[in-house]
Amino acid sequence: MFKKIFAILLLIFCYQNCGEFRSSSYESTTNEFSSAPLIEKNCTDTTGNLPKIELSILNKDEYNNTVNDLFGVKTNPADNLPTPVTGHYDTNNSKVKFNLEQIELYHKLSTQVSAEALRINPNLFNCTSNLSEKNCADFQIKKLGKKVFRKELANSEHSGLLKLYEDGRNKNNESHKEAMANVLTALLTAPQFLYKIVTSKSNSNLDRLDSFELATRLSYFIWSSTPDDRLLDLATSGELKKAETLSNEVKRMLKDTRSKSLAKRFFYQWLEMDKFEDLFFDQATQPLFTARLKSDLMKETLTFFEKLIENNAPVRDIILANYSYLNSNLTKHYKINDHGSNSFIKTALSKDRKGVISHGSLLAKTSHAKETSIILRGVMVLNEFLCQNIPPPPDTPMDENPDVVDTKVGRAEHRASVRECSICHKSIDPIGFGLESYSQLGVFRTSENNKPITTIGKLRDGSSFSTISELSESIAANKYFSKCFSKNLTAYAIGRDINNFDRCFIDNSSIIIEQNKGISELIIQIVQSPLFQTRTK
Amino acid sequence: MAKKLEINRRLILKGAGFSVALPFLEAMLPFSRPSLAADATTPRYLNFFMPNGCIVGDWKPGQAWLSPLNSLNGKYSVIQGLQNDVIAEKTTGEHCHGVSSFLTGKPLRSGNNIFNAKSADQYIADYLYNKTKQSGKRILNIARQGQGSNEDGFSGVYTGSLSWQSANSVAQKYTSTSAAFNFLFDGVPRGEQRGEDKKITNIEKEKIKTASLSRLDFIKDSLVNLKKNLSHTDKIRMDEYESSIRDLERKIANTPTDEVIPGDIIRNCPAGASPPSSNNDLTSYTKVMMDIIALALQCNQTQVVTYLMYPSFKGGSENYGGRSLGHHNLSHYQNESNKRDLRHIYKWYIGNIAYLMNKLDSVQEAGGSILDNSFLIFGAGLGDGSLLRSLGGHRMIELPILLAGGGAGTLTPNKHYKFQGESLGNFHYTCMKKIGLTASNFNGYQKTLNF
Repeated sequence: MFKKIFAILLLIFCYQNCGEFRSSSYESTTNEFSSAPLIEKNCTDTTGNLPKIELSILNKDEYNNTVNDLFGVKTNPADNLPTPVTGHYDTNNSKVKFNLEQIELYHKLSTQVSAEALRINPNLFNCTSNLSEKNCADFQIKKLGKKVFRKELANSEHSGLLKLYEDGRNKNNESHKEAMANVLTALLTAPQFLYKIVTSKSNSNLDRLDSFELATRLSYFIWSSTPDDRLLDLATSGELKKAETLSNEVKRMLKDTRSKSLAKRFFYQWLEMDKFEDLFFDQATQPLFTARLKSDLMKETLTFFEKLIENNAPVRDIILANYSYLNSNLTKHYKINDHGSNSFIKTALSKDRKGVISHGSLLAKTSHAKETSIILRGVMVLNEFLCQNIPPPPDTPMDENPDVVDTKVGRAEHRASVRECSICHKSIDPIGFGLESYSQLGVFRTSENNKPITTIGKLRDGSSFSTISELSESIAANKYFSKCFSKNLTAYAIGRDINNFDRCFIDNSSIIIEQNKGISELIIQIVQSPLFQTRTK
Repeated sequence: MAKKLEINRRLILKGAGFSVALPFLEAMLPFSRPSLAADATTPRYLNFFMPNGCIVGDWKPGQAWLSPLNSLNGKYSVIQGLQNDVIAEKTTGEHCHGVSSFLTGKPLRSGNNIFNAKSADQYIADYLYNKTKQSGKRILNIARQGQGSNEDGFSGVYTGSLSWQSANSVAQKYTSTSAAFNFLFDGVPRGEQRGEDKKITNIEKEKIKTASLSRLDFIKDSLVNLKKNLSHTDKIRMDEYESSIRDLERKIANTPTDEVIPGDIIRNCPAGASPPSSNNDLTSYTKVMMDIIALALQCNQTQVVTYLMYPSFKGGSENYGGRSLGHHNLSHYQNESNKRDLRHIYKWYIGNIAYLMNKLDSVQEAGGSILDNSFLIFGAGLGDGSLLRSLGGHRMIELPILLAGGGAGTLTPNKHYKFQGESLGNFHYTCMKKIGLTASNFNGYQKTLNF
């Protein structure tokens, strides 16, 4: 009875016309990548057409990390800003419009941050005795300005800040400390701090970033935070622009704990983990889905990605890893030999699990409480791992009577038999069937609601599979996987959506994945690419 | 009374800090207190949006799922038969229009360049803010989520935005309970007392004001050089930024020294330093948001609230009062059990509205309770989504609309209005006129409806 009711809750719409929809815009194109064999190409032809990276304001995480790294402010003050409309990744935060309401919020934020910075370090603006107060102020302004603006202060900025200080000191009865605090607040309110500014000093349409802009783009990509002293020093000397130095810096930065932000932010957004965080299964239906299990499952996936970076593992491990990071609670949940530890440690998986596709978090977010969903799971694999974007189902009423067709296989067969449905579902459903071996909570199973499950499926390229291992191998071997991952990471890195003119560069960087090199090599390739290093008007 | 409140706040500042949301809010401001509204009959304009429409024929008084309103009889009217002319006929992007044109009445543009129109709540917020010269917030715009899904080539921005500041600019919105709370009550860093407690002298206040203005001078000066080195589009961004700096400068310069506190203008409502926390599940989140709204209205921190209670067109299951249900999927119901689940969801929405109405009705001010002085609109932007009927699939007809409150004397609640396909835009226009706006039309709508 219940099964029947909830079976109906599955999406049973047909997609009006996958093909037609896809051709309407690049974003929705299925075969967006060329099928030519992967060899490194010369992309200079397209460089002139690269889209502009819009001027982007620090997003909440970037702001919070930045004031923490600069001053030790740990209150996450930017969490109180309104929620912006962003691009696909929130590194593209270019749509914030300034008006009085908006500037008041930022104005208040900068007074709060500078007060908090001084509360944490009351000696922040102490002068050493051998400097006159004016020289001390001058020194502090230069040093502070460079750190906060992530570049050497321009002469006009320097003199303006000095004037601000002196006016405060001489005309407004401020102490040295008060006047410097006011300078700090001004720096934090200025667009040079709030925005990741890219200037265009020459008249040419295409230019390389200057070394400070490069340091900024690099550190916000890998750390989601401001460049540290070393990066600023390398930018000052111009050394950072040398390819070898840059590669070494990437490696250094990836070893730093701040690179955990890639797991927390890039991988989280790529796999839409917010859907897992919002997921609610009622206790009556899923008594095992406790707050603890939910948080452990999330931790498993985030730890997996943190370790992927830390260990410089190949990108294909995302799909092919025969290990995961589990605590005792999860080994029991997955019915794997319990290692007895409460920490998330590297654990070999049994044969019936492989890669993140077998993580409970991903499997749960693509399930309904009463039943798994072959459609949601199939769409997840296509959209997120293969960039074969399936349009959302149109709200077109469909003549299907679920009272007649009430089994998963029966409904899938129906979708396959109706042309309008099969256009999309012939790609979606077989993948979903391949994941039927996992319950809503990611536990291996052989039946659902006392009926045996069907797990045989195939990918559009014709490869068929009957186990998770075979499905994972099909995905990893699929030519779209490496390009798709590279596309996503690049979009995150540069803070704009990827477009036709970028394909050549994306193809080039995806070779790294095909060669099974460590993820740091891919990140270096992206950072060295003109997509990352140039600016267009 | 004031003293007692202060003790409450101090206690919270000192110890708790992480007290559960609701007891905290209630402790902060017992609802037996009168509201702090300055003006005798300041109208409030409150909009609550439910996605995905309503079963046709279900939207009428007497339905079991409307029962949470039973204790509030005489305080609301049920309105039937409004439609949004934009998609009275079947077309594409219904969910986008259902949300984004609900308060604008305008068709939307597909593709990358979003285009809509200024929404009714924004017109009303501008009007009330200017009229009452409030020091509070012009509008509180809440959405459960930043962006929704794309649909038929229409941007996901549309499925997540009710309030529009202009044709191409979505209004600033808050999605987290703590951010909304801090926006309204100017949260200061945890553990610190609020500025007004520090008894700052006027000399010090003047000093703070001067320092703020000098800072803005520096920023304006440094923008001159910065803009020389920017590309054309970046320069446009900086122009906006610069003009906002000038607005802020004007505002600070015009603020009487008395009212200056560090960082912001003074508030007269005793809200504290610790924002409420809630689980992110839909039911507890919504309840905390309702508490925040009630407190904000009582403290006169804003007069206009727009709340997109759930994004349209979103898959996945959420907590509706302890049951895990997917609203959008269910809205294309196919049988009686789907309809039962849908009505459970409707009742959940109505329950939340009734919860807020009860709170607002318990606070007395000039002219009655806050509820009596409110235009509280609850509604959906889409019609029936049934797959069983050929007319289904969410046309924007037969929109379910609840109009609660007395509208500061301009509404006569406890009615059942049955319109015959009147435009939703004209409904908004009529509300705007009742509030006191004098425009000759609203986004092209100019007919006054009889309610």
